[in-house]
Amino acid sequence: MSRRLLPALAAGLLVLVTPTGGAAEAAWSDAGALTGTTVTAAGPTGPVLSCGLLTLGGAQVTWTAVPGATGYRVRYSGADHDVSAATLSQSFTAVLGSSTVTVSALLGSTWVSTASNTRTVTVVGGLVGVCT
Amino acid sequence: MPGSRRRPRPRRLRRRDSRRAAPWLVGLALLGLVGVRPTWAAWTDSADLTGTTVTAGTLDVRLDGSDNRASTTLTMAAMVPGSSAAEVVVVQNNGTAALSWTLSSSLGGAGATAYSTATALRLTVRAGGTRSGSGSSATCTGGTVLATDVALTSSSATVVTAQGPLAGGGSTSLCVQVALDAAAPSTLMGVVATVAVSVQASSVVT
Repeated sequence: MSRRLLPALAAGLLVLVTPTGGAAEAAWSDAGALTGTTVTAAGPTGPVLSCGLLTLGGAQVTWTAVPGATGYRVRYSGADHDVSAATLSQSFTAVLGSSTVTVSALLGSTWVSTASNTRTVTVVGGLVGVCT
Repeated sequence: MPGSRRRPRPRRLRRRDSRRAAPWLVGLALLGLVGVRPTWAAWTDSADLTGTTVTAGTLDVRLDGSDNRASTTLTMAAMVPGSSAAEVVVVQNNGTAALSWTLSSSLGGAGATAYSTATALRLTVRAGGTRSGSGSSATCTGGTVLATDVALTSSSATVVTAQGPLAGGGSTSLCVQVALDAAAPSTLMGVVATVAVSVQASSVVT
């Protein structure tokens, strides 16, 4: 029995140790790399809002620029007001009474950063402006 | 019977003797053949093919002369949906053997999984393309498109299938563009990842 099995075992061993493939698998190889590329998405931190200079009959707020911002959304009197990326301040001269102000950065057409800290602007009668 | 002697059977003896003698006869016959083998006295001549030298080629692919070429304009510090950066890279065969090449890419860093899951970072490759625009609004234009907006993942994947052959000393220019998809989710805000681009070359028989 074992004598009959020996040739079969030897044939199987040959199949196992016989290298497969042709010239394509034996091709030489080398590689080159393009390194050092880091991508960072803008946001989500919004700008920092500050009180600006007092103006005659009004008040002003300013905010820090946010990298990648394509514009800013200033919210006051319960409404949003979008301004360009180059605009980093907003004056209030026609606000009646008091309003809280926040600013968010617009990041492309769909992303909006978190809102800035809040400032309160009060303009009384178009004569006196206060920002706190 | 007393006094009688048993005589061997002559016929059986003769057969046994002939069996014993057979190998000797065969051996003698073979010896005779060797002994009488004729000598080969034919004339001979030869002619040589000379001057053949074989030299193994070398395989050495480089990007702008370097094995590890640092990108200069692909990094983006504050991407927003629709942002893109581009860079022109020259694939060089710095060896003597012809090669074919493929280009693969993968994402690394802390945000690799987030970008990979969102399929938000896209790679475009143009052979012979040029870089248009600047900063995070640069794109590849012109040339021949080899890959368009292929989503990059954490695991390395082939972006450009086999190109070439590129002869020894030859080169080809590629414009590589990385872009953040315009529909990228806002959950990616502030996420950082690295983009690895690799060119793999294999020798080819031409």
